[in-house]
Amino acid sequence: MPDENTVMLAARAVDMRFGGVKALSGVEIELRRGITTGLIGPNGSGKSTLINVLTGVYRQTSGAVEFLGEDISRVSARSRALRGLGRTFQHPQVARSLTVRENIAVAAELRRHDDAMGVDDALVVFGCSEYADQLPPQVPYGVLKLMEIARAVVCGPRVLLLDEPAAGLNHDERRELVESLQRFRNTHDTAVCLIEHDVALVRALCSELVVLESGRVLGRGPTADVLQDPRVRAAYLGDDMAESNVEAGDPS
Amino acid sequence: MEILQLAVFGGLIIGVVYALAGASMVVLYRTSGYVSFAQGDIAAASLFVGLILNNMGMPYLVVAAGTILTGAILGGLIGSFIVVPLERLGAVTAVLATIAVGMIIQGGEMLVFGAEPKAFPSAGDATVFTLGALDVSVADVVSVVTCALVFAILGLAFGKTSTGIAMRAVNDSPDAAQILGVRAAQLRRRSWVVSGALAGVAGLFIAPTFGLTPFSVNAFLIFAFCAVVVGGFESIVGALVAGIGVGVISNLVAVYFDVNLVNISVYIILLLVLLVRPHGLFGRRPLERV
Amino acid sequence: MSATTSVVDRQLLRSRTNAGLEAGRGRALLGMRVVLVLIAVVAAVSVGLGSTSGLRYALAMGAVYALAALANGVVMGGLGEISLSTSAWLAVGAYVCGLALEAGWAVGWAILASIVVTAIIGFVVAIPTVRLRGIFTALATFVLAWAVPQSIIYLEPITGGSHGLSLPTGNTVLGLPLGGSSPGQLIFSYICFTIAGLVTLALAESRIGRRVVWVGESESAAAVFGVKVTWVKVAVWTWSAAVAGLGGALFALTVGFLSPDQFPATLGINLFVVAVIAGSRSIWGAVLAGVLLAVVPTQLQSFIPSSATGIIFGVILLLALLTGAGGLAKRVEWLILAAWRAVRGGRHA
Repeated sequence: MPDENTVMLAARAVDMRFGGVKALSGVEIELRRGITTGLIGPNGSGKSTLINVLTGVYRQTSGAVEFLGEDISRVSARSRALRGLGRTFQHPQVARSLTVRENIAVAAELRRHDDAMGVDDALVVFGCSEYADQLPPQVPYGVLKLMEIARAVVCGPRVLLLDEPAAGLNHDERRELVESLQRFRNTHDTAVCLIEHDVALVRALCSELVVLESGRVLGRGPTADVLQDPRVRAAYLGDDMAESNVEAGDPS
Repeated sequence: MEILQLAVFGGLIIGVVYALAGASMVVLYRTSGYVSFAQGDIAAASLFVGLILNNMGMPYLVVAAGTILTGAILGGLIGSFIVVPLERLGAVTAVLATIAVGMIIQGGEMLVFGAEPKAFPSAGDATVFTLGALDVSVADVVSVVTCALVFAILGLAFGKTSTGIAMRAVNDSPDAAQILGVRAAQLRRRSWVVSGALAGVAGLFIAPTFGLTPFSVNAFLIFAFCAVVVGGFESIVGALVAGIGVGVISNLVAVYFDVNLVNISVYIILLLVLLVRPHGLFGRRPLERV
Repeated sequence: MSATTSVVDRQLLRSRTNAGLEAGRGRALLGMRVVLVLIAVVAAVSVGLGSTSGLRYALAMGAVYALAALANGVVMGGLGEISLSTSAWLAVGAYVCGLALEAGWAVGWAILASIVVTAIIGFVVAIPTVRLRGIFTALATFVLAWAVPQSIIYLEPITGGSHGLSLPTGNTVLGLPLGGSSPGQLIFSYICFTIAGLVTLALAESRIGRRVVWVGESESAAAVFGVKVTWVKVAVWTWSAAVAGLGGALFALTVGFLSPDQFPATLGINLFVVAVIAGSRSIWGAVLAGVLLAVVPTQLQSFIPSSATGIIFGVILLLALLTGAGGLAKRVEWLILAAWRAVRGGRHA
């Protein structure tokens, strides 16, 4: 029976090269059941690349990706999704001719696990009910980002990778995002990885952080500790990690 | 052996014209990212103007110049006023616009000139030399030389001049296009002018052999389409090699199998190449972004 | 029902119907669209039955082209891809039907054979074709359409080549005489269209249809979620070919004589153009498209030489493109909705 600390998804000594550029060097990350891990770092540090390697969009140059201990480096992105990896994209990838509800429902039909959240519940948890029957072009950007998360969630993923879910959101929308994710976590123990720039968001949602810089892990550990680390603070002096005032509870 | 020779060398020469006709499409594709279905009709319209000049007794050079100029003007007008403004609605809309324009030009030509094939003067029918059993005419030599010149100039223009590089940038990167803004639209209009002129040039080598009707150039252009797609839109060299390839292979199929198998063979080649190397034999793979 | 609930309900209905109008699909407008299909079909048949044999024949061809437009709409509306090869499927369907009838098969079996054979060939061709995108799909389908007339000539032992293939006369279905400008042909062809159209509509509004739209509009997301994108696309192209195959069979029954020059590449282009003008996702719009292509050139022949009809279609297409996407059908639906709301708004005032 998997317990609280089960490692669901891990990258082991991952290198990723594009031509002459080394995007990732020796990256190790563990995403554990019931834990929300933040993945932070300056732009170009390799965060999105790492997500793409974990989900199978890119095949790493060396190293391994493990799911529940099993090496899935050769498994296609499609198969990884079916095993229980869910993700959102930095820029919402939605079908413009399907309503918000339908966009979520098409994914729900692919669910593999019976404990997955239903479409209507997902609409409520992620604050999209008001826009359920509208088309994406008429819906606020913030709602589309929440819809993307709802869509990923209804497949019942074991691991959820969220690529900058707060990017482009205003103050109220960010609060809605935090509350939605907290509501979700109250009933599900999915391992969550959150790529984010917003320090307050990360503080509110993540119990652990992994910091990337230039493709290497600069630091990892409990959120508060990592954020106090002088090396980490130095890396972000003058960078665009903004503090925004998001009212939220302590990380769980 | 003689038949094989004829097929190969004949295919070579006609393949050069395929490549030349393809150049018109390559220029447009590299700047705008889509293919125009109107090039054959632009060429035909230019040729009809050339024909009028010819019937007025003008020397060949004037006829040729008139044809190319008409192509450039027509291309520029169509691009500036119809197709480029519609690009904002997407590539599909732009392609549809070229289809619409082609239909209108064709209809106009039918009304004014009718469907009877007209004779069009060539650059010269006198035999310059013989390749095996094939007589190579002045016009054939001129077509090869013109093709080489056009490709050399295009290669230089796209590779070295700022306009050319800008044209490529505008197509390769939507961000570049946005940054270049108004200039991007201007570049696209210019590429229509060049593309139209090239269509006229190609027409000068097609019409004398195949006759001029509102449809004859289009029929020819399909082979050029295939050559360019097979060779890779990104590559001028590719268009040349593939053009010759298409020319030679279609002749071989006609000779050794059945002349009525040529079109379907071209289709199969096209499909096979697109399957194995979707961007053509010499094309570049674009960066895949998720 | 309190006043506030009914205001909220009406707002909900309004936003749902707006969404349905904008997207060209959706439960909210499904009823209206089914009714419009029936109206369009009944109108075409009624006009045909009450008119000259020339117009009746043209309208019967309208049903054939409507099926072809439907085939194009499936690919364009579902996957957003350009299909210029519908004329190829018409040819296959027509010749299969002709050969089956010559071999003594009953009309029903001949039509079934047309659909099945065209679907199989469509399936095989679709497998490589779905790996292409955008302009390359247009080119590949165009080259296929272009290669068809010559291939028919090559297959002369079967197809009769340039000499053509004459169908046996006196075909009937359930006792109804078919062929040419007969009322039976008109009715039968539109019944076939209605069945094909309503089945397509049902599929489009089902979870299958939603998945198709997801693949067509957001392919990378669908793939990442585990959808077998390639097979979805192949299924759509195969369905398109099957529908066009049915059209081809009706073509053969109506015209009675087949030859290669009836299926030039320009037909493929024209069929695509009218489908776009009418609106890709609209089933009843396909009737509009088919009738437009079948009737306008022949009826205008007295005013304008047939060769110049290309100009008219080109101009109509440009106008349609310039005035924005969506097609004629969407504009008409908008008018209907506006009128409906005006009437109901009046009642609630």
